[in-house]
Amino acid sequence: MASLATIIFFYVGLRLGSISLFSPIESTLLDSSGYLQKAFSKPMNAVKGFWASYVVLRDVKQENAALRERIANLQRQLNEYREALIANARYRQLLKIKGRNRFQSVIANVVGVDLAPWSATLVIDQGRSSGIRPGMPAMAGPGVIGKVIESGLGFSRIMLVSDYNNAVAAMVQRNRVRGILKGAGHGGCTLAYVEKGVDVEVGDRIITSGTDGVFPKGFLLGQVSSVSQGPAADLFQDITVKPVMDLNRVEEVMILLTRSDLLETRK
Amino acid sequence: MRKAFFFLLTGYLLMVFETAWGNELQVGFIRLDGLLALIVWYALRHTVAEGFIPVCLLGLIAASLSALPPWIFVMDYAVVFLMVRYIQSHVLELMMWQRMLVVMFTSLQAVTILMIVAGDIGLVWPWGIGQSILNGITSPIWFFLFDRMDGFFFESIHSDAGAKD
Repeated sequence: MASLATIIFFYVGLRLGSISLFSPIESTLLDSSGYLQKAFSKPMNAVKGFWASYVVLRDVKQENAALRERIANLQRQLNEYREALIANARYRQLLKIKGRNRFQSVIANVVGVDLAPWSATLVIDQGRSSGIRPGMPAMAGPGVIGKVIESGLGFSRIMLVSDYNNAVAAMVQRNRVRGILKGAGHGGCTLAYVEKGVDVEVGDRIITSGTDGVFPKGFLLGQVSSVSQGPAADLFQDITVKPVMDLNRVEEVMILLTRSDLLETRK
Repeated sequence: MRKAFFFLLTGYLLMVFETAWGNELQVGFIRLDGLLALIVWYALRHTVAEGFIPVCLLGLIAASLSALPPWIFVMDYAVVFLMVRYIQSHVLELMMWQRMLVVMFTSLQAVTILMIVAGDIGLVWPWGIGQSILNGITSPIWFFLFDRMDGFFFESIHSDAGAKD
């Protein structure tokens, strides 16, 4: 018993010292748990699929009309963006600015959440065999929702932007004001370290600034949902940000393979 | 040895179930959780010599299903186990409501430790308190399930482990 206890505390001690001697064991556990989580989550996904497909059909007609209107607006906007893109490419060529890299991506399904309810991490069903490595950005809907923090052979763990321990270098798209997007739990975030008096408004789009070396510049993180100056003694504003989508309902994610040296592993 | 394996397997399956169905079982930061009830149930029936190592191993398994550092779970579950053993050694037989209180109390202790070490102390109220109350209220159901499973697999009447301590 004493020797087993020694092994456990030796293992824990190694982990505390950040020595990755046992990382193969961890990734094996992540993979084996992932397969079970995937099997367990299938019945729930089937129930949800049935509910979404057959039961919730009452508002379909109104929703259809609203969506048609939205498509028309988006098509109009798309046309304007195409024009702007063409103009942008022309200006870039004129100014000799290097274009942003286009990254390969991997689509993955969410199969599990964290054991601690307040820890905003997800387990996805793609891992190192698909080229996924820790540090790669995870996207869903129109923007960034987190980053990969651990990858097994067939499964990976991603930390969402709403996690208390997460921070992303960000800026306001409209006026390029910089700050740090920090997780605030409850599926929400705050934009920290924005000085008082700086112009930030509700509805402003927050994008990645690219200065953290993790997220490429210009990806959407969310929209400002409230701004307050906070107590007089504070130097910074209290800005809350609504992420790009409801992070409690993420079902699929797209991982950007941002490290070009690893792209070959997919082939 | 077989009972330790049963405990670890049950704990692992509970963890996988909770993480696979997490969003459906969760309101705010409170989730339907049978893991603490399992540890208390196991601690009430096994001495420190029998049960301490399996509980630490369960902590290591739990770490593989979370982004929190692994030593938190090992320490957390070990503290819960020792606390229940201490209570058990001072009481002849716990009534059901007393067991509920033990689960509630140890859950609050466990959740508080986890939240403090993870840097989320602000969540103890109301989420930590709510989680421990839920764990206490649902513990009779979990105890009933674990007793049935234990009886089904081992067909033995448990002796009071408290006398052995």
